[in-house]
Amino acid sequence: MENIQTGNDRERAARFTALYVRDHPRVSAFVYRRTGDRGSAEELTAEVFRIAWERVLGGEEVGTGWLFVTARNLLSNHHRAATRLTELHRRITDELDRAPASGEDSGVLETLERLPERHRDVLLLRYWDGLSTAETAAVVGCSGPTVWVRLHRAREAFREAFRDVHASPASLSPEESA
Amino acid sequence: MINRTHVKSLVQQVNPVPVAMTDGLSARAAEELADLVGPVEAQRRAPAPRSSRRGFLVAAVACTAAAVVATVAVFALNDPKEPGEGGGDPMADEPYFGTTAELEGASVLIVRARLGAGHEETTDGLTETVATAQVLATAKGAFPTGTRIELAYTTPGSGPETADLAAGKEYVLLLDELDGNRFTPVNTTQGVYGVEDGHAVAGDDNDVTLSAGVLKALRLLTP
Repeated sequence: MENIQTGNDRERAARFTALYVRDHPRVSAFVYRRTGDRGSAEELTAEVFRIAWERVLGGEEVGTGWLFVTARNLLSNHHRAATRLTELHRRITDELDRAPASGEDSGVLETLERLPERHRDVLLLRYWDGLSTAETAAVVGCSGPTVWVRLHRAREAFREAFRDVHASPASLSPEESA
Repeated sequence: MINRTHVKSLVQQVNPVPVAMTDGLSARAAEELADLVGPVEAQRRAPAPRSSRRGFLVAAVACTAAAVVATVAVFALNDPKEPGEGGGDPMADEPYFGTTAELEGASVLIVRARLGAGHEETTDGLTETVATAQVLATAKGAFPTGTRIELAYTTPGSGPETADLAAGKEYVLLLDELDGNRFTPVNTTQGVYGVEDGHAVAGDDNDVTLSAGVLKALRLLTP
């Protein structure tokens, strides 16, 4: 995790620019996946980096993990109502003009929906957002080894829930039911 | 039945904003960056005479914005692999072992071996490096000294959690067996220990030590 440290203004700007270029798309996508609205995601991401820049100017350190933690905090302030994952997925694929979820994809989304938040969180942070162990640890507030343990448990829970979803006729597409 | 890597691929395939779509900055993001760092860059320049200060600042900020956008373009061209992205597979779908007994117990083969040159193979969208390794000592499993084993492992540097494996070096390998007599580390970060000055050296994020019995069998020193 790269940190920005105090230095002269030019160095600060250069370091912040490097962090921004590297992580802005990741943070923006992270927020977009959780708001389902591109405009809101852009606003919120801009806020994250505004706060980051203020910290840098104040001589504080800012790293990738901090960016995601801040994004998550802002999300919890601005989007208290939990939107279903399936609905978020539909909104985003509509907005991006991408194909809607197929039969199996719907089953996966439903499985994720059924998981306890602690399991769903770690799966999405790793497999959707592409966060490293250190970044995931910063976001969920635990150690690196604990992330591995949580990921292992989350995968086990997913496997079990996925079997249940597929065992339920109501969850299958018409083609699969046939 | 969902296999070892299937959970990951299933979850990834329903990612509504795939990683590939997050490359580079949008025009809006680039402008916002210029808004943030521009004044700092402007202040860096020598102060203009008072009468022309406003005009100077406008020009300086405009220049800075252009420079930032250019910098963004250079970064985007020179650094295509963002953390957690890239063509490889940065996140292995694997367990973490909390104790020596768990780690060694999960391994079907524990050897000290010298790694040979490898090549990349892609199967089911998963790119790995495949290489042979010459066994130098065995602590668990039926591969005696001198035999060669085939290894598949996450390509070093393809993500944030990859073992630092290099051809020609010695390692302690804790392996699981794949189909076709091919082996893979039981965990990307815990399945590989470096060998330095007769000691087994764990990688980052691995605080599990090897047992005295395994170290002795591999002719390595205990801590």
